[in-house]
Amino acid sequence: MQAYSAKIPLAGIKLSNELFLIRLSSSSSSVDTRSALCQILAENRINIQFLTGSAPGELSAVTGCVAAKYRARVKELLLAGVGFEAKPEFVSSVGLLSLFPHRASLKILGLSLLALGRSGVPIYAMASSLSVLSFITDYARLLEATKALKEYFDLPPEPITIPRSNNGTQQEMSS
Amino acid sequence: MSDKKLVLVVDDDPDLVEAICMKLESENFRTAKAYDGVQAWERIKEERPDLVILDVMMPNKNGYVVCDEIKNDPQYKDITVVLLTAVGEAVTSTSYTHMDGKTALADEFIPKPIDLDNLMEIVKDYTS
Repeated sequence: MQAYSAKIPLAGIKLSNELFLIRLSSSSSSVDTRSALCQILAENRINIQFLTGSAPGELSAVTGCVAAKYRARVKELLLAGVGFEAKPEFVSSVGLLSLFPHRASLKILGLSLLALGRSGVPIYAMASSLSVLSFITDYARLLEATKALKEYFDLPPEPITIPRSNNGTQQEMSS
Repeated sequence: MSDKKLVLVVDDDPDLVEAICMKLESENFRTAKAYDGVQAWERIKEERPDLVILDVMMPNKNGYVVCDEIKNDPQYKDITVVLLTAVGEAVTSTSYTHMDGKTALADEFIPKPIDLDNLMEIVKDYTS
């Protein structure tokens, strides 16, 4: 890939631990998939590390991510029947790539999508927050995605990653 | 040079850094940002902030270490350090301990999740 001539400087890039992706969708806009997913996860005290959804009035769909250790439990809870008309889909091993700050720049968004698209890494979901552009891709391809973004953005040499504890397990994302 | 006080905000959560900085700027402070302990030291040496708001659990160099380095450095020991702590629940699953918190040399400790209004009051108290 040819490097972009004038790389845009950004403060950083952050990579998550391994996550489990859940997507709930319903053909009926009257089904509130977002509330349903949040309620199930909250009742079972499972932290949501990423959440994005359709706007009210659109096709009802929500995408969320939880730590990979909850994979079986969450799958069981959703497949067991959640009491609403929604179709659950899952991606087993994903990671969250966070680019910041986006400075509300459409150019930064466009170049991010261009970089990731050209590299061929899948984007299962994306969202923007106050400062961060977040992309969900395959966990095993996070470093490949980072490398692709560095073609367009001037970033610190090493991404921020989630520190590991003494016993080798990964900490939850937010500290 | 501006007479506004400079506050350095250090956390590995970029959204939290942004939110705190926006609030500080609305209260007439200047702000600087860092996302880990190593970057924090770079900003401190470049800009010598009046106060540092410092997260504890961060990659590369954690907040306890940065705090003690500031307070043991004759050139920077007068900088006020406010530590943001969420370590309690993580003690059983991470390398952080309650003893780290007891021995840290910070001027103030604020538990997460942060009450922004409370944080602003503390920052104003220490910089007035």
